[in-house]
Amino acid sequence: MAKFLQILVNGISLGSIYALTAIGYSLIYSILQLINMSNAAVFLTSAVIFYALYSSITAGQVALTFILTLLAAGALGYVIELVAIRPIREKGDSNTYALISSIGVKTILEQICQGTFGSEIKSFPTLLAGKYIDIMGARTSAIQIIIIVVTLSILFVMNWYTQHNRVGRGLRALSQNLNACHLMGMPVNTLIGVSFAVGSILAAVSGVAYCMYLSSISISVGAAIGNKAFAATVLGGIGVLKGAVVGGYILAVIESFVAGYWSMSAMNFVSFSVIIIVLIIKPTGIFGKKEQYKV
Amino acid sequence: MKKLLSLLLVVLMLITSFGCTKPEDKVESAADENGDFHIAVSLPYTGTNASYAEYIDMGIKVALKKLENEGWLNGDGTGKIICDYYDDKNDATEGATIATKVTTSTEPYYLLEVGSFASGVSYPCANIYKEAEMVQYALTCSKSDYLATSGDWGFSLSMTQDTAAARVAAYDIKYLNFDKIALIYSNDSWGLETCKFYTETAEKLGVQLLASEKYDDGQQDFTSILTKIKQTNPQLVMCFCAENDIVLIRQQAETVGLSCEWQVSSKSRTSNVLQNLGDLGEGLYGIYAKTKDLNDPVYIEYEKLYKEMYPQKFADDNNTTQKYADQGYNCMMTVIWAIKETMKTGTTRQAFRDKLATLTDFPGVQGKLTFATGRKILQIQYLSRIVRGEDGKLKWVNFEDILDTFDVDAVAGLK
Repeated sequence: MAKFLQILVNGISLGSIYALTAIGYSLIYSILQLINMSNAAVFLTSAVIFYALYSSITAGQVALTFILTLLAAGALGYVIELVAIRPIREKGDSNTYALISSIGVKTILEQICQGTFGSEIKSFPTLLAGKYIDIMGARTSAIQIIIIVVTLSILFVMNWYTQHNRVGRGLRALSQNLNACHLMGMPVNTLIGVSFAVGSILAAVSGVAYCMYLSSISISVGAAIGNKAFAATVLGGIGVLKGAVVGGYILAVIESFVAGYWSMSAMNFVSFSVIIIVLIIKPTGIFGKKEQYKV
Repeated sequence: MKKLLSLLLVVLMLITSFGCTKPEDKVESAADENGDFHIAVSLPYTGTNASYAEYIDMGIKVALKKLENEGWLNGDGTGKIICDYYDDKNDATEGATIATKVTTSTEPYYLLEVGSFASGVSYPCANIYKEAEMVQYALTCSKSDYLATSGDWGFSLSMTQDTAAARVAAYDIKYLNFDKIALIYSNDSWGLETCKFYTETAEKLGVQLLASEKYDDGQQDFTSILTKIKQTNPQLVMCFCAENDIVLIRQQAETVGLSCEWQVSSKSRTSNVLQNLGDLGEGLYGIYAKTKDLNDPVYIEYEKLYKEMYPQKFADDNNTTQKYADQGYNCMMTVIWAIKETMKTGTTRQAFRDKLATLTDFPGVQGKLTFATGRKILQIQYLSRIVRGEDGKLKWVNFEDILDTFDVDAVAGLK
């Protein structure tokens, strides 16, 4: 029972990381039908920014470093949209070009991170190091609990934001009909920029939280999570925020149980098999809805 | 008409067969028109093993700097060694693309290739270099049949895994007296082979492993397999992992409450692991192949240059040179030696290979280097451990007198 619970807790805390990152993919897809591959690099870049600030300018103040990192990530997301996505979008070119552009941004950011940060693993500051809670024999670290609580809080805030906040409602409107928003005189470009900023902030939260969980940071940290988060988005229904969350948790829990009861090498085999089966049964993902177009 | 065509075909075949000579056959020396030699260096500058590439690269550059300070090969500023650096991304396909490129390149004409880091990249490319009759100096390749596969053209400064892993098992079981052992290893050529030889030796010594868990490249979360291993209640967890992975594994073992002794292979017995594990590293066992002698003039000269070129790195590594940088330096110094030795008669790829294969008692920075029969490198392996010194700082300490009382090769069945 203890083993079962331990693996479940591990899966849920990892699922929280997947979920946060997956929302970033889903949010942008819901508006532009674009898979923003640069999200994984923002995940890494934010963690690197946090590390750099923490070990120099902010000198050990976690809260201040965290806020500055989120601001930097938001600005980075806005700039990515402004420089790499908007020019292609405004020319009316296919999203395929924007996708390639986002892959380019991802590669550039990763190279910059490697060039400035180096390739060695480094210790990353964490919260409440060495504090554990025993839940029926399952040892849960304080940072795991913090990650789960923070994720659920962010999901709650995101839900409120898109339902009740003016900008959030604007984002929802964009996801329903971009052209109509244009015609209604809404600041579409700004709102799309904001969606990239929000997606990047979420990637930053998960990037920093994940490195705190690992107590370390290396340049390979973004790649694995980015792929998994994207898979989670597709599993849950791409473009549907709650789908990204559920997809993230399902994927991580499956992975944890396969690794814990069978083999870590079989983890990807099983989790991606599950995704394929789900997509065969329901091609739009768990919460995705079939779109109908008038001809 | 048919006769004419047949005749033409025969003539064409004859021309082709005479024309298809290897570039080597036309080359009297691999040096270019300026008398400079070109070397291809293929390392994983990006990807999970990038830190190792960085270290090896540093060592190579220190050796080149030393040569430059001496006026290059001829002592008068001529006869440079020019390295072209390729990123194989720790990927065999990329490695093969680079191998094809460097073996067929005529401008520059490469004398040899250095790299890659991982056996999983070097080994699949060995045949390309063998066919091209060009030395592949895979300095860290430890795959047991690498030297045989590479024909006469492969060289490595690392011991093969059949020897290295068997010795580790012998130390663990018969010297440290552990009989409840679990294994974690990377799911790559190196990890799979070390696991195989470690398990075989352990079984010969009467120990069945409690668990044997592999993981894929890029894995960050090990909590599930650590939870699984925790259930087996091991005395020792032996990790055949890259240094970045062992840091994650050891930290996450704390998260799941797995308390036991830990050991890493020589690949992870690094100052980086020491630094990043902090207090968690205390008591960690490691394996070290030959200790560097800090009073050896060869080492002192190397350390001086290293410190000048990489002061920050030197300070970060507790005022010592990095182990893989040492290997990169040794590799390039032996290359320089073989080139100098063959320059009088003409440094062709063949002449270079033949000379390098005779390397005996070369003064390296980790002791004397000799390529024995079959180009096997002879090395001693010590057990090593992170302990807290009198100054309160953690450091790696080698059990240098271990071989006086413990014949590891006899115990491991290697004699």
